[in-house]
Amino acid sequence: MLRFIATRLVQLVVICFLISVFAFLLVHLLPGDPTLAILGPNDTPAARAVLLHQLGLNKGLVSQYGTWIMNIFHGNLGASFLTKQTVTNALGVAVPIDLELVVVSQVLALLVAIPMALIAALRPNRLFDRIATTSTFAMLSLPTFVAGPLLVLVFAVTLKWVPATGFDRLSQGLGQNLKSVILPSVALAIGSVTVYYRLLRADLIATLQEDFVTMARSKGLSTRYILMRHVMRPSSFSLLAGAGISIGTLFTGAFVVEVLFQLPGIGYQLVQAIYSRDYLVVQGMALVAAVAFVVVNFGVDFLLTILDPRVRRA
Amino acid sequence: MSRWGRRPQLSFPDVGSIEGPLLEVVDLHTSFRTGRGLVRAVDGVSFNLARGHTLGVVGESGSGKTVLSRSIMGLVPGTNVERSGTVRLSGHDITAMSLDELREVWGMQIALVFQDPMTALNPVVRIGRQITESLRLRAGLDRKAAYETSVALLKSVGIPAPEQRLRNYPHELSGGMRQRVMIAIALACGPKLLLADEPTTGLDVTVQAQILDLLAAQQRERHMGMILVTHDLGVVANRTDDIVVMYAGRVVEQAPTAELFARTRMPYTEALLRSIPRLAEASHTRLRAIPGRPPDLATELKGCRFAPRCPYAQDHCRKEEPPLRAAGQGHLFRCWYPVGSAEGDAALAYNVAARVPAALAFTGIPVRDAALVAPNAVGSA
Repeated sequence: MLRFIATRLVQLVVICFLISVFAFLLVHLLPGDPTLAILGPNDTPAARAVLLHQLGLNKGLVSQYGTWIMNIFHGNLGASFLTKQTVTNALGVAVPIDLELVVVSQVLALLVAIPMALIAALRPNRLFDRIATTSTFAMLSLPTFVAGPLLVLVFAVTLKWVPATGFDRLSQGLGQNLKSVILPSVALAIGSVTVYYRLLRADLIATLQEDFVTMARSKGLSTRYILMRHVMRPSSFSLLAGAGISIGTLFTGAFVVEVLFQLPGIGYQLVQAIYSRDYLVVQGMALVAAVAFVVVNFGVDFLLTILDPRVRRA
Repeated sequence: MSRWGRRPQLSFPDVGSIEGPLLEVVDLHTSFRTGRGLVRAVDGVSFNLARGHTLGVVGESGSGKTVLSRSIMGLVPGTNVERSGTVRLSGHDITAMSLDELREVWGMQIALVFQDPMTALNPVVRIGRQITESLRLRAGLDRKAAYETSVALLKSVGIPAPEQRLRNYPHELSGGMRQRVMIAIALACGPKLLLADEPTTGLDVTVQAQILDLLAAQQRERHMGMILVTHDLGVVANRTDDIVVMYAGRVVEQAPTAELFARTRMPYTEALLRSIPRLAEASHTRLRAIPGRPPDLATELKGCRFAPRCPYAQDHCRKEEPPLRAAGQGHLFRCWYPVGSAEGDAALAYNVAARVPAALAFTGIPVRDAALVAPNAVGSA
């Protein structure tokens, strides 16, 4: 078990290094000249050369990477050319927003998907299963940029229960804070519900046909006990793997929702930085998003080894 | 009251004090509605089992023996199942019971040992909980008593170092150990009837005998009734009091074990017996397999179900299904031309003369010679 975790940790470090290299190179692969973006097209070539020197962009790539990564270890991701705000500060704004969006939306999605999958799997192809399968499929085909404005129209504009846009920090009170994230979270949860429902339903139906379920029934155990203590665990592997990918993607994939609801999350700031060639911001945000993805999936792998004792030998 | 739902309370009288058989199965039918029509997996099976006795249920794959053991318990899953007939356990009709009442019977009165312990044990649950859960939830033992009982159970089924095994997961044990664990689980709540569904099929030959001996020992010790389902007549020969031979969902022969082997009447039973390889024979002797395969149970069957493969079969067999007839004490068989009778000998001789493939295969004449001769219309003997 410890060996397994150690191996995975080494893998994690290697992957994070590769990510940092790609995040660094990414910006150099983008067409365009950052000095042009900062100084504007009307400045002199001499001034551009001075800036290039100041930014260290005239040095070799390896030396540039070295400087960048050493600064990161000191907590310094650089600063935006445009706003002069440090990337660390920008992340301080973005990360709590994304964390909260991810947590609230995924908890909502699981709260809906798990009971639905359980009821549907107990009586497959019967009325509830058909309704649930069809309606989740409809939800999947509803894009976020349609669901988002619809939610705003109903709950913010018409009913006025929650604000339409903006983010209230937790320090402004939990209620206030939740009100500001509930609509974007629901918009994000809609897509996840379908995926989670389908993964869990399929695994549950397969598990319920296993001999060990008949065996548990032949012991006279109640259906509820069998579901909770015998069926759920071996049926949750696909769901967990799916959740890992879904959560990891959301750190940047929440972009559309962040724009719709004016939430300055990672995706939102990243896209803005790309447009303005604010390359240190792009590098920093991309690095954080990618590392978050890898760490979340490392966590999922770890959970899988706890849930399935057969994996531990691998 | 348990956290996991109501524990049904059904008073089952002390079984030992009741007269009559432990288990009575009367005209049991179990069918599955499928896209191809109704599949009659168990088609009118009746038998009795006395306390402390062992019944062997024998038949090849697809003869309905596994479905029979499940439907005796009322444990056939699915919404496409039709079951009729009566199963009485110590006089209680368990086919009329609700699910809550059945749960009181399952595990406590009747327990099941599955064919494949790899799939019948939950791979992500420790052995310990798989044994103690029924002790705690059903027999109402506390944590400590359940643990001690499960250690004793594992010891009694011949598992060394039971305390360690309780912490293992099923994949950490060998096949024989897993089957022993399964037997321990089945015995946990002291059932009166043990249904063993091909308990040795997935095991090495050397382990098979150990498991069968263990089952026999536990059965004697606990004075349980046991139904031993198998495809192997050799398995049941020395270990059962009575044998039921099934073919295509029907009982085709039923007799006390010694009687069945001494005076086999049904050609199918005879063919099964002949298909057992013998040590006395030279190695590489051709196995006497029964040619063909059991009929498709989704189709309407006319006449004797074994007739298409039977070396004795005549026109009569193909037109009309024989009833179960009695021959001596407790011996029932379903044949118009029984083995060892004058009619049977005549029918076989006639079929050999007419070069019917099944008869030639039976007598050892190579079938490829027979294929040259189209079987003529065979008259009634």
